[in-house]
Amino acid sequence: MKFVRREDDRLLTGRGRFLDDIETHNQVHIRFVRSQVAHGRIEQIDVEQARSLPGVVAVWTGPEIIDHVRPLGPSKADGGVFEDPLFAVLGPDAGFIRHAQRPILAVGTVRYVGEPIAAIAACDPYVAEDAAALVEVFIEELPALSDPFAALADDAVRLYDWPDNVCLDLEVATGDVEGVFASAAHRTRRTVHSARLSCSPLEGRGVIAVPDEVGGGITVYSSTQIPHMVRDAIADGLGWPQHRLRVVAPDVGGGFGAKAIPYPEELFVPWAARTLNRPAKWVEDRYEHFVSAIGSRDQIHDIEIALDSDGTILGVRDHFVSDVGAFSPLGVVQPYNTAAHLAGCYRVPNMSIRMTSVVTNKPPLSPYRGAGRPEAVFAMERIIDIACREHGFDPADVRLANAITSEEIPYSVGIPYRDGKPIVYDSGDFAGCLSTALDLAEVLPDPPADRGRPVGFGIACYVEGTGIGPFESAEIDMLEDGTVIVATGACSQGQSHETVFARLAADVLGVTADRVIVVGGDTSATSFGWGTLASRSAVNAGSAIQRASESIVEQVTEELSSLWEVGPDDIVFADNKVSVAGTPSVSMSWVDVIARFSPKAGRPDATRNGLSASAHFVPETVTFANGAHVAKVAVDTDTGQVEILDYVVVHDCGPLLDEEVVNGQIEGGVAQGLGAALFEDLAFDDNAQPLNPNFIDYILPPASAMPEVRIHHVETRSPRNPLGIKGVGEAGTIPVPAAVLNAIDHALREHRVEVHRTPASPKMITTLLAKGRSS
Amino acid sequence: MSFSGEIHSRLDVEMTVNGVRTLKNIDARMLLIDFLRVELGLTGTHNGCSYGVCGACTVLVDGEPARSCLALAAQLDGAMIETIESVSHTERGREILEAFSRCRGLQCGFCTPGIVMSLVELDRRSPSSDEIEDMIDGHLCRCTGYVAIKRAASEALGGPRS
Repeated sequence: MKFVRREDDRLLTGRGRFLDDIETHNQVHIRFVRSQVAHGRIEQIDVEQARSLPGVVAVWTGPEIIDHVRPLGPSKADGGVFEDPLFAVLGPDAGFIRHAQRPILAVGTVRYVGEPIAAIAACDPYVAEDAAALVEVFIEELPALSDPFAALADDAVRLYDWPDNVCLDLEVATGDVEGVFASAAHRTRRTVHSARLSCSPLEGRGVIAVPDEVGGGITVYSSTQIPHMVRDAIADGLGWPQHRLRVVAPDVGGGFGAKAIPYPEELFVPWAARTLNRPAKWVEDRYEHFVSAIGSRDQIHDIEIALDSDGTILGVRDHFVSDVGAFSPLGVVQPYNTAAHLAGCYRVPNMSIRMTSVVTNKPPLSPYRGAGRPEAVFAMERIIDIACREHGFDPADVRLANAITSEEIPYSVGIPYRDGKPIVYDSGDFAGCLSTALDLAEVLPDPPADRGRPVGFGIACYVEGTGIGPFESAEIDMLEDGTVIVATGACSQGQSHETVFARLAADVLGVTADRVIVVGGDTSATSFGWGTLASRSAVNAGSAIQRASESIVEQVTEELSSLWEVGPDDIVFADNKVSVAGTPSVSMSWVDVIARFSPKAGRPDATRNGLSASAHFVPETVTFANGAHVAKVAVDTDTGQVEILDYVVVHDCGPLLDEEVVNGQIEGGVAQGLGAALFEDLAFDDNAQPLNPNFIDYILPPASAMPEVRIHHVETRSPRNPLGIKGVGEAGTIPVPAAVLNAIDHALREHRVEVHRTPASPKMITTLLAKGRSS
Repeated sequence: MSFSGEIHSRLDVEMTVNGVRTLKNIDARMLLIDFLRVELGLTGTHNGCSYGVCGACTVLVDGEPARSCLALAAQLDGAMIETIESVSHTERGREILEAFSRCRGLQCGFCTPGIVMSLVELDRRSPSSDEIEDMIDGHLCRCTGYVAIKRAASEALGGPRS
């Protein structure tokens, strides 16, 4: 069979190795007992019935493990590592952040439905589930918070020993905002809301810990995006030395951010395995994913824009509130990403942004694909559209006039990025991308109806800081048979690393890609690694692999130019061999090249064991991708159903490493954005009980809702990495809710309807139409 | 795995799975998906939700697509089961798999086996393009946005035959 991706052979024939596919001898199955109450004090946990069930090996509660497994603090994952530098740059008056400690099993208090309270180890998963149902938990309920504004009230119940329920309050500004708002010709202010979402990778989370009685260590398999950080979290939380821990991400069935922080379960399962001296396995079920994996978005903006009499953007002021649930493991990342991307493609000389994150009794919140940027684009692109309609401007014209052009690059936004470095757009032609998108979509100010349904166009532009640091690693090892092993800390959840990274190394080494094996996500393959998240792997891992490959080339060049008595520039790497330029008869196969570096060559002066290279890439700061989306929709005014008639994406992520992979990332991203725009709303009642934690009531976008996506690539090189590329993992998602809701408003222009909240469900649209005014 | 819950009766179940006759003594409450994955080691069939919505666990039971997370193995005594592991055994199956790879119809590959099994069944009865669309609508994919899956399905089945 002929497969185009290296991953496809095993994935298409049922031989993939996802977490739950790993079975170990004598393993126990872990089942967590989770809180059914959103906020309360644990009075008593009765585990005796569970303990006596045949097949149950052990039952634990929080107080029994608290001395062995330390609570999880804030994560360094993603931009968590940059929190201190960012606060240092913003200065002490900019605001504050508070971090809660997250117990592995609750002790004393529960703060969200789904919080783990007790854990069962049993001989099979059915018995473990039986036993979990037999654990009786008595909780004295406390008032629960499911609304961030209620949580801000003076008399609101407190989740922590803090003066209020605010865990982040931060302000960032540039220019003279008060001045321009005082004198602006036009001002428009609205409240817009990005709903709470579930990442919902089709494979949930899961952990298997296998004690290694020979080596004395433990191997942990986790369905994670960040195996090295999971290793560090386990080592910290359990007090284990790193050398006794190997963490491996096997085939991972999607992540999207849900698997980008270390979780309590990832510490508990290894601890249970070590305690029982048996392999232990936990596989998240779908309900658990909804209530215990992170949710995201849940951001409400009070945003105002000031325009000059000709539609020039003078300034923006925005105060947004994030409902982060009971814990916010990546504290500043999501809100600050929103702030850093609010100006987006436009010149906004005067801007003040205040971000307030509030704890409530919902499950924890952390970034999901887009990570604060869809929220920013939704707020900015909605307010631009609404302001244009209010003051009689054409939204396409205003955007074109205010978009940054290639002549203005590098362009300084005036505020720092979340790594503390100034935001300076490094590449791109934002106005050019927008102009191309408008042409491709054939945008009309007053499009005719489609089979009786009003039609509208919606535009949304975005920039995305991609490839954030601090680093990514690569190790290359050449085996005696000529196989090239490329190991990197970046792991794949479907992004085709084995294919694309193999080709990168192969091109530098002049070998065919089938000789290159890529290993990602194994802490025993690279001591250092960061992980796959934040649109960073192509930029950082790709650049590290490029460098390591070049190091191999340099070593071989030095060796063979001396042997052949030719200049280094005359050594050619091509056609699976090394040769001399212009003299193809002088050449050496890779097997022979590698043999010269082998300890078996018997050279006492050799300094290394064989031919290998180690490299990392530390980006100076992020590099900015950008693009423009245009949605064309038809709205059925009787039912409120929205159909996407056409969808155009113009995207600039620099030179394309693999156009089909990039297209796949964009198409998948657009689908997730469409889910947020039209369907997805993780809802809670007034007691913070989840109302739709399942695939039946929480509606993911189905195939029938997804249009063909017309993609046009623009390729401007980034000066910030050797490949000249910019990340693409999240971009497809970012502007979709803004573009679609702008299009809905445009379609309903005769009804003067404004949709201010995602998702634009049929019910919301019919309700707005009935009211004949805004939400 | 023992599935040793004592309050549950055990019984013998015989099935033909991917052409192989299999006799197992199992827990009466064991789901078909666990029978395939745990008892037979056929882990290509995946569990995405456990309640029949996502379609990742789809297998063919006596030639019909079925959610293996919703069926008890004990109900299927005597049944003929086909899973993703069998698809590459036939020329048509290999063509379908190659079409998925060629069209980039998979990224992480978790949902893919279920979709392929639905497609294998459709392929046996000259479906219309609407039927292909309806079939894909019965599966959730979180990576591809379905665009490439639709392309793969249509290529694999030789274009719409309506």
